[in-house]
Amino acid sequence: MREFLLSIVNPERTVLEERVVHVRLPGSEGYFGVMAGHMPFFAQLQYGVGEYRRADGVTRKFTVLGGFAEVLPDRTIVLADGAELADEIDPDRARVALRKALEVLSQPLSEEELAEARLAIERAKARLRAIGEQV
Amino acid sequence: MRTLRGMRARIRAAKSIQQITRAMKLVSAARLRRAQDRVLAARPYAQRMHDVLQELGRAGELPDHPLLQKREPRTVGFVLATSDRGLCGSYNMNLIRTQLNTIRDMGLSPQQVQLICVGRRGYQFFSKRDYPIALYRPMPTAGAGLEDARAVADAVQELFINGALDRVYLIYSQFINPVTQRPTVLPLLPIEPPAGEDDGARYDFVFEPSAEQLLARLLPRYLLTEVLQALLEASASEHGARMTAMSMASDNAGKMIQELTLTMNRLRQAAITKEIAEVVGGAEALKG
Repeated sequence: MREFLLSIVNPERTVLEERVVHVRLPGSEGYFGVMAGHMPFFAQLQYGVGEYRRADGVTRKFTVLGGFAEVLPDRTIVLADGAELADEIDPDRARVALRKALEVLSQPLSEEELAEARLAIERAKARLRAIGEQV
Repeated sequence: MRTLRGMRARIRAAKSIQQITRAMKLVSAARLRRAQDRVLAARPYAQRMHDVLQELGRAGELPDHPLLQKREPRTVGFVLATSDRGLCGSYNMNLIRTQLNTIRDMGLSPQQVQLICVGRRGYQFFSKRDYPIALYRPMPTAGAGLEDARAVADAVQELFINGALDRVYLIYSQFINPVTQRPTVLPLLPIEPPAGEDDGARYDFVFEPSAEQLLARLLPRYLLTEVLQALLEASASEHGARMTAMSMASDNAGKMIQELTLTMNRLRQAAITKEIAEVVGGAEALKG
């Protein structure tokens, strides 16, 4: 299978830059998969778990916390608002964050606080799913 | 007249100044390292954002969006990033001069200008001279972050969309290396897809969701990225400039201490010689 360049950046750093054969990303209208030679495609991303596969068969997961993806025949660029590889995730921290956000949600909240709590839950869930937990 | 005691006091003063400048140099070096790491790490995202917009721009006409609207420049906004504190050599003065030259070269009167000042030094200079200031924020000593960038980007976006500003530029110091900072003027609004080198590739993109919806999300993000990158560059430049300035000040204090010590030793030697001459002269007189 042909390889293409996958580059994942967030505003703070480069998360990944690697030759891959396949990547799956959480688009705003649903998950989509990319292989080399894909038609030019520009998508908004939502919170979710992405996954890529290298030519040697190794697959790895990563979180995507919104952003954009630019797919070109020879490269895919993920401009994530937030992104991290599964190995970089601290499971305990994500679990605590999820519990706290759920607690906050049970209280009366303003519109803004509610939106924030929901985002926090989505963030924590994306992280936990990326490390293979069912939430 | 120079007295021995006066000389000692001056040497002491020079030494304590040197201690202060040395300490400030060390603090700046530590802050510079952090700021430098951040700016270098953030560059790929900004660069990719540029590339993406460039490719979108080349792909064909972008759909209408308020942030792309070109207007006759009646009022021009400048986001000026300086530091809050001084003692960083000519860092702030270079930026202020760049700002003044830019206003002059564009043939603008102060009334046609609106300043968005990040950093007290720039704010003080221009508010004293009665330039209209649309927004002022201090430049955090620990380094500017996403929150500062968001406040500036939101304000600029609003002023541009409601027509208070027809064009906006960023003026900041680009971080080249710890001893080199380059004052830079960067057009910010209206957003124009960067021209850059044309590699001849034209892509016929499929958008998801629609191009309009995507652009409505992407362009504000682009604006924020540009502002954030400028502020990060400015922070790193500031600490670099301060470290260099303090390093030079320490060297100068060292030189001064050396010269003063030399002069003092000469003075002391002269005094001793004079005393000996007097004693010897007295003894000779008694013998006679």
